[in-house]
Amino acid sequence: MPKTAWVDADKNHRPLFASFTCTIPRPRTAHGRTLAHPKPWEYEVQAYIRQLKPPVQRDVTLLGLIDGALGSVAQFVYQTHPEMPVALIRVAAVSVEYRGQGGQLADATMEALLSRVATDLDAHGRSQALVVARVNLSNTPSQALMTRHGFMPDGERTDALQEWTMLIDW
Amino acid sequence: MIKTLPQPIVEWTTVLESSEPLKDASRARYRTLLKHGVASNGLTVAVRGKGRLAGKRTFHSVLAALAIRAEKAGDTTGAAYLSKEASRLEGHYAILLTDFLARHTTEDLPDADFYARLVKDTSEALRQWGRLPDLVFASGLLAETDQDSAHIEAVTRDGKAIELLLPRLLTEERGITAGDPVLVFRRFVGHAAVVDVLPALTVKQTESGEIEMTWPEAEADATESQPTEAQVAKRYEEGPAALLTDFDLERLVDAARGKPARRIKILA
Repeated sequence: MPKTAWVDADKNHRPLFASFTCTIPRPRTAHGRTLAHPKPWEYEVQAYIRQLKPPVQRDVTLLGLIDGALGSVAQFVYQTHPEMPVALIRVAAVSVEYRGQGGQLADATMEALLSRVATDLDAHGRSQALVVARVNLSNTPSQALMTRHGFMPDGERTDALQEWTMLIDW
Repeated sequence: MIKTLPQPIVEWTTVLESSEPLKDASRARYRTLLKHGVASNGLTVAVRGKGRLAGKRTFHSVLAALAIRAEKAGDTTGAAYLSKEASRLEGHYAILLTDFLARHTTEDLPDADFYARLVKDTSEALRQWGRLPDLVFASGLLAETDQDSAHIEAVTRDGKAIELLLPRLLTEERGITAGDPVLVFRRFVGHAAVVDVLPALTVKQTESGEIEMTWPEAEADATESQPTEAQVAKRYEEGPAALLTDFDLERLVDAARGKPARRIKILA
C-alpha cells in the first residue's frame, strides 16, 4: 500500500472533498437523462463527502493523503453518555483509485480512526469507548470491513441500515 | 440512437434573442433583423381567445434562430442554408401552423397531427447542415426548479456530464418545465459569456435515418428525475450519518455492558 499521511481536515482541504470520487458516476441515457445509481449507498456517501466543509467543531474528519491526493475519508463524532464516551462513525470511504485492492486502505483508515479515538479519549483520562456505525444492508464490502475490525451487527436494524458496534479499550 | 432536437417552432422573440441576447426583445429591433439578417419571414398568426381576436403573434421555424446563431459563429454558408430551409418549412406548413397556433400555444404543438412530420423535416434539414453539435454547448434536461434557479443536468458535446444552475426565469420564458429536454448554448459577447437554452425534444433515429417520435422505452425509469447531489447528501446526513439521540445512546451503552472490548494500540 502506498505511504499514507493521516491528517485532520481543515479549510484548505475543501477542494479535495468537492472532487472526491468513491463510486462510478450516475449512469445517463443517450440524451443526458440521469438514471438511478446502481449502488445508491455509495453515491450517498460520495455526495455527503463532497459537501463537507471542514472544520466543523463537532466532527473529526480524518483524511488519508497519498502524495497529496485524497485517498480516504473517515468522519466521526463524539457523543456523550454518563457511563462511557460513544464515537459515531458518520462516514468512511476510499477513493476509487484505491478500491479493489483487498481493502488495504479501508483497513488502514479504520485503524487510524480507532487509534485516533483512543488517543483523544486517553488524553481525557478515559480508558474505554463504544464505537458505532450504520451500514447499508446491501453494502457487503463495508460489512466485511466492520467484521474484520471486530464490530458486531448487534444494534438496531431498519429496512436499509444495520447498526454495528464495538467496545474498545486501550 | 436517441437524439435531442430543438422544438421545431419558436416565437419571434427567440429569433431576435438569438441575435441580441443582452437586449429586451422589441418589435422595432425585430423588424430590423428581418430586413438585414438571415432570419426567415416567419408566420404571423391572428390569435383568438374566447372567440375574439386576442392579438397577433409571429412564429418561426427554429432553423431561423439557429441560422442567426450559425452566422454569429462564423458559419455563413450554414446560416444561409438554414435560413432558406426555415422559409421553406414555414411556407410548407403555413396553413396548418396558422390554423393550429391561432387556437393553441407552441407548447401544445406536439398534439397537432402534423407535428411528427414537421419534426422529421426539421431534423432532416439539421442533418443536411450537420453542424448543430458544434453550435450546442450541451444537451440535457431541466431536472428541477427551486425558487430562484433552474437545475439543468446535461452532457457537453465532448461527453462530459455537467450540472448548470440558471436563473429560473430563463427557462420559464421558454415554457420549459421540469423533465423537459433542453439544448444549452454558450457564446461570448464582448468579454462576457452568455448562456441560454432552447426547448428541445428527444426522438429516436433508426439506422436508416428515419425519425421515430415514440419508441418502447427500455429506460422507463429515466422519465423520473433523479435527486440532485445536494439532496442525496442531505438524505445521507439525516439517515446513516444522523447523530444518535439520547435514547439511542442509552440503548447502545446498555447493550454494550459486559461485552468484551477490543484492545486498541495508541499510535505515537
